[in-house]
Amino acid sequence: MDAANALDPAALERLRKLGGDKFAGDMVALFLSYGGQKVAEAEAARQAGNLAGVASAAHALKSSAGNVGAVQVQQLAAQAEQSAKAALGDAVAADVAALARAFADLRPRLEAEQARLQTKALQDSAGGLG
Amino acid sequence: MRILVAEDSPLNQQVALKQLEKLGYQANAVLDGSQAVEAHTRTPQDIILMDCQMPGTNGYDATVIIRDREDALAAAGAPVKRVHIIAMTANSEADNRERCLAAGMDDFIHKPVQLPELEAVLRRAFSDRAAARQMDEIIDPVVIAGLRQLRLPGKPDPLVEFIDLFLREAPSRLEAMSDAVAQNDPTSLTRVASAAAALKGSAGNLGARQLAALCEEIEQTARNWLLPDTKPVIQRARQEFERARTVLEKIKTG
Repeated sequence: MDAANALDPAALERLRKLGGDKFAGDMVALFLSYGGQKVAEAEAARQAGNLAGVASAAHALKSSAGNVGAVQVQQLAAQAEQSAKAALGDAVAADVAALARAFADLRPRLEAEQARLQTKALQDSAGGLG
Repeated sequence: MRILVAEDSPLNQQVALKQLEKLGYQANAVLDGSQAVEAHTRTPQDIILMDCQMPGTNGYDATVIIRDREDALAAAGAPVKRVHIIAMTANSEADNRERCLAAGMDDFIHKPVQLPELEAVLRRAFSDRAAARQMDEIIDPVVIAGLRQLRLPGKPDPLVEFIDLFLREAPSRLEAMSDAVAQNDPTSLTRVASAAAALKGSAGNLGARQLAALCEEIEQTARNWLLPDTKPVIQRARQEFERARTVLEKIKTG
């Protein structure tokens, strides 16, 4: 999967429909902070040779990523979780690195989406006031 | 309707709460399995949406703890409302469903949770609960819980014996009533009244309240010399007995 379709726009649209622009923007922000923390945990666990820690952090990412449509991160997290559970040392290192890269690549796009959603939310509430 | 969401990812938690809000439910959320057990112990929930993989006590273990407590309460004779537990899982392995059911979960939903799937899984939960409520109206669970208390270690379960005896005897009592009405002779009224009184007693002992009430009606009608009027009530008692039989068979097999 290339970076161009790393993000499924339908998921963000679903969040907007569910709770509006502000809610969708908040969920993207939450994924960036929570997901960033889990990527860091996966990397730290990998360095410490703690495979259960890698599997747990990767699982948390896999389970959350679908909500914002971060499909590539979701796939790579699933892969990292599997190789950590199977105790495939070399694969774990490569998978965690790929996961961290995909998350870092996706970050600016999600930040842009978040900014766009927040601006829309502000405009809507300003429009509602005026 | 009390709904609890047990989910460690703040993102999944907030999305689930928003989805429930959209469907008209105000739910509460906790971050792991032991908090879910605590919250449910403090305030009994109707439905728990349980993430399977959480740090600390995971969803499978939390479910086992909750089910063990329900079983212990039931064994001690307390009436127990079984909470409906829906697993939320990000795993797609086929055996995952088996693991959820083995832990005592009732249903299963995939992550990311989508609104239509959530609505469907809740609809199934409500129809299960409605069926349970209906069963409680046919056979009073408090009476059954009381009979369960009579069990002694190493002895056959008296509840099972009571149920078997009732299921064997009740049809002949109903038959005796119908025969007496059909024969319409000078002994008919007494025969109907005494069969109805006997069935009323054994139905009441097993918590079959509606059946007992119908038998009371048959008995009183017969004692008032109104033999033909007992006929439709006996028919209703037969139907109620069939409902009671279904519920009692379920209680017997646990």
